[in-house]
Amino acid sequence: MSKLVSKITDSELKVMHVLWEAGCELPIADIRKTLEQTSKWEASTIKTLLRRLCQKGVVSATKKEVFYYKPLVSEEEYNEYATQSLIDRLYAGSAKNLVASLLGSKKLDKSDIEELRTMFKVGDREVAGRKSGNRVVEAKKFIEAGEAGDRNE
Amino acid sequence: MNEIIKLILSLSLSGSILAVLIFAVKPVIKHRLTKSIQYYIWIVVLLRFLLPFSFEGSIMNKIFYGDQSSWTMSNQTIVQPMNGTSDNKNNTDNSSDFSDSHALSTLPSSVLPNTHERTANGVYNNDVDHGKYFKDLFFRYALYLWLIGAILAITNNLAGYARFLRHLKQTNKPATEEQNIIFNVLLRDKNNTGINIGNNVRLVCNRFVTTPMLVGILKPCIIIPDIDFDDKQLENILLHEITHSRHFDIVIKWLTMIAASIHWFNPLIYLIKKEINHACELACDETVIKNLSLTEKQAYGDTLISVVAEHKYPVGVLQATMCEEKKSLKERLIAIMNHNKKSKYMVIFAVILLGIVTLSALYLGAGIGTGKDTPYNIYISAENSETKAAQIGTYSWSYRGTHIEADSDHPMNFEYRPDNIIAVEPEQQLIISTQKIKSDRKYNFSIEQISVYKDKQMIQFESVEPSLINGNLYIQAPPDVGEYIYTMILNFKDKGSVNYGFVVRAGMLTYDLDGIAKYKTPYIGDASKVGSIVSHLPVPDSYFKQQYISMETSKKPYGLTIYYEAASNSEYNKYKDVWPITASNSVITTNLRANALVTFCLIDNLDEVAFAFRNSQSGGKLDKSKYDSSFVYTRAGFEEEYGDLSALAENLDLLKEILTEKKTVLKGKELANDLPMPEFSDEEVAAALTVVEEYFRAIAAKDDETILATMYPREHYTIERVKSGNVQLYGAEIRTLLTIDYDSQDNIRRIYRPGNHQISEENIIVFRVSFKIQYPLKDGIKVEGPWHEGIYDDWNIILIRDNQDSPWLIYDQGY
Repeated sequence: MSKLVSKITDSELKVMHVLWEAGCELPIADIRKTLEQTSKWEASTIKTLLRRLCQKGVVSATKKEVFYYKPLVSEEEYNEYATQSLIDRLYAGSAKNLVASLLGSKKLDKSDIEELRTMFKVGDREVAGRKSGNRVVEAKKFIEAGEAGDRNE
Repeated sequence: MNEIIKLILSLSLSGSILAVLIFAVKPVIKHRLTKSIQYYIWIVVLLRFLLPFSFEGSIMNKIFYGDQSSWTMSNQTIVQPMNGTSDNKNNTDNSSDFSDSHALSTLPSSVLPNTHERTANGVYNNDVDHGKYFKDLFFRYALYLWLIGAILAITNNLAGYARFLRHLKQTNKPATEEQNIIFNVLLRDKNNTGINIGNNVRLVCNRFVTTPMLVGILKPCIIIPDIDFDDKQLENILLHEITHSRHFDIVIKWLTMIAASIHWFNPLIYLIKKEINHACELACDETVIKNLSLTEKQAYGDTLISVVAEHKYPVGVLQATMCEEKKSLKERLIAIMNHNKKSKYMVIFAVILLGIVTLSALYLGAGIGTGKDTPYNIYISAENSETKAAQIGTYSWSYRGTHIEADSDHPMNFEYRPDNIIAVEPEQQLIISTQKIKSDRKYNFSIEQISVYKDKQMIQFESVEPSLINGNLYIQAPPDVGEYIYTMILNFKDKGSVNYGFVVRAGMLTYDLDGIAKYKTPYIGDASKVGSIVSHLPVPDSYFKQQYISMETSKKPYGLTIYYEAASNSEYNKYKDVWPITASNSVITTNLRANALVTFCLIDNLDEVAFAFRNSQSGGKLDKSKYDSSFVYTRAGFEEEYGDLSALAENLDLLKEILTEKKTVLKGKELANDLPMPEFSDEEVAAALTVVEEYFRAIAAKDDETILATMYPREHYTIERVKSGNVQLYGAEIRTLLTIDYDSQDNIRRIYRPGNHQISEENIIVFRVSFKIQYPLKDGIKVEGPWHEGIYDDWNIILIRDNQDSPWLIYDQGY
């Protein structure tokens, strides 16, 4: 799902609801007809909203005799996503001050994780230390690299 | 400076200094001390930021309150003793000797010490004080600014947390059967260690959380992401969170949040917050892996990495601090790798370090303020009376190493305000302490001296010995009706000794004359005004209350009857054996006389006023026959003594003096100042003059017995007391008589009437003398004394005689 989904505005959401309820492709005239009951938007306003939704990648437009609009994201998917992003934002905001979590909320990229995995070898240091001097040096290097990293930051 | 701002700033500074010290030693201790100890050290720092606990001698107290003494000193005005006032600081007893010189009531000479207190109260009349004014203004706004910041920070945190919990709750789902089994096994394992905490922890799943977490203090709950962890991973995750729970880390998190909110203006606190959170995780990891094998440690670290790898984190939100996340995780992993048992020495060192940090936290303290730089107030209370404060006179006071000596006039000469005057019944118990209300701090003291003055004369009376119990001084009011000035010197250990003065009115009524005079009316028929006047009259004895009045308005003599009844229905019957009240009850009759006088003064055509009493309650109905004890006063009786009463009502000050028995005026004397004083024959004047000359000669010769022979005999003027030094007739000064003037119509002669001594016009004579005071040199330095060097002009010397055949003797002198 695109990151832009989270940025669907309330007005855009209304348009989305029309599309979700219809359950099929709709031309702009139909969308307008439905929206007329709840709002006083001009055709141009609705057009703008639809254009933005297309740009965000949550609605696709297909040209037949007129443009037909189809949601690319289901309502459930959207709600899931909205909740997720809300909870994440709340957590990152101030809730993290008051909970004891295992880890922070940020995801590390693959290379970082790989780096940590290679570095983290508990047994190596002690077991290997007795067997081979070389590996001890290697393990130490890692530790030092880690500490040097701390100091730099 | 505003106390709250001072406190916050001092806490902030105190905590910051401690934190900086720990940051400084961090590189040394980081890998040597156990993570738990490091965590505890940070908790000490956190508490330093939060708790306003401090010793008085702490550094912060010195910084925030220490400079005040110098400020006080520069503003302190030392009031010199008045002319003729003995140095009452050292020789308290000789005040009785010189007290006579103050006895001229027309010469007010009240000087209070401590002018700096006025500026402290907000009177900024000097330029130097403008700085203080703006400082005050700044601190007031600083307080608001701080308060807004702190409230915003706390509400923001709490609101965010509450929303977070609410949204989680909606999406939480119970943990699976397998998860709960593992969880319960771990909980039980943990409880086997003897600590019975964590029993009430629940485990739930939530697909929206990105990392396992523990929330809540009272109902802790572990929330794990809805991910398929294998058993080993789940065990490691739960171990970590259970350990958090057992460490009360949530409480620390809350405290950290509160500290960060309170000290929002301190940039260091955010750094410290991060440090505490990090130390918390390290300490938690340490506890978890302490008893694990190498393989298990490896598995634990791997779990951390895989949980981080599993994050299904939305891209685009808050990615900036990713490397910090990595750094912190890396440090934790290294800590796990490096974990080894610390040597015994290290453990001892760690404990010592923790002790040092705690001690420095205590020593840094907080600016909680100290004892006052001025002497404590003392308060006088008695049953049924408002608590009053004593005025402070001369004191010597030690405050944080600074010693302040302030001289003032003798308390006897202070101008006492209503809040220094306590009205009690004769022989009632007075309680004196430094506490005004229960929450005030109580300071213990010892009594150096208590003296009671009436009409400027020290008096003695039979009373229960003063007793000092638990910081409260209990004394008994004098048995006779009247106004008394109490002066006492109290000693506060390690602080100093202080002279206090207050007024006790025993069995006297206190009138709010300015308030009551508003209702002055020409006619007894003016019921509303008459009613107001009566309701403003004090009851002659607090045993009674006034309920009804009745008026005779139709024919002369116009009359007013005021009815008093027992105030309460209690068992206590004060007048059981002496009912009906007779005129011999001096307290009641004196008070009724005063009430009658005020009533006549304020109601112009009132001829007669009656006061009727009943020793029971009326029950809401006026039954005149039940009032079986009554007193009647007539206007004519008062006018004989005081002249035109309506005119007296115009002169409230005089009326007040009559009511407080400061002045006993004979008819017309004060109001119409026209009658000449009787003249003396030349022989009489010459005889008196000789006594004055004799007195000065004897003073110059320092001949105690001759001096006493020229003075009117008094109980405490005995040669023994002079010899023992209790009474000082003169000091080191040289008094040289220059001139003596005599005027038969001298106003002092007219008005000088001590309350306890009946003196008639033909038995008092007043001279105005002029004399010079010099001090001798002793070892080249001038000797000091209570007088000023120079010429004293127009000094009154008052002589009286008992009758025309007795000799003139000096009764009083002074300005």
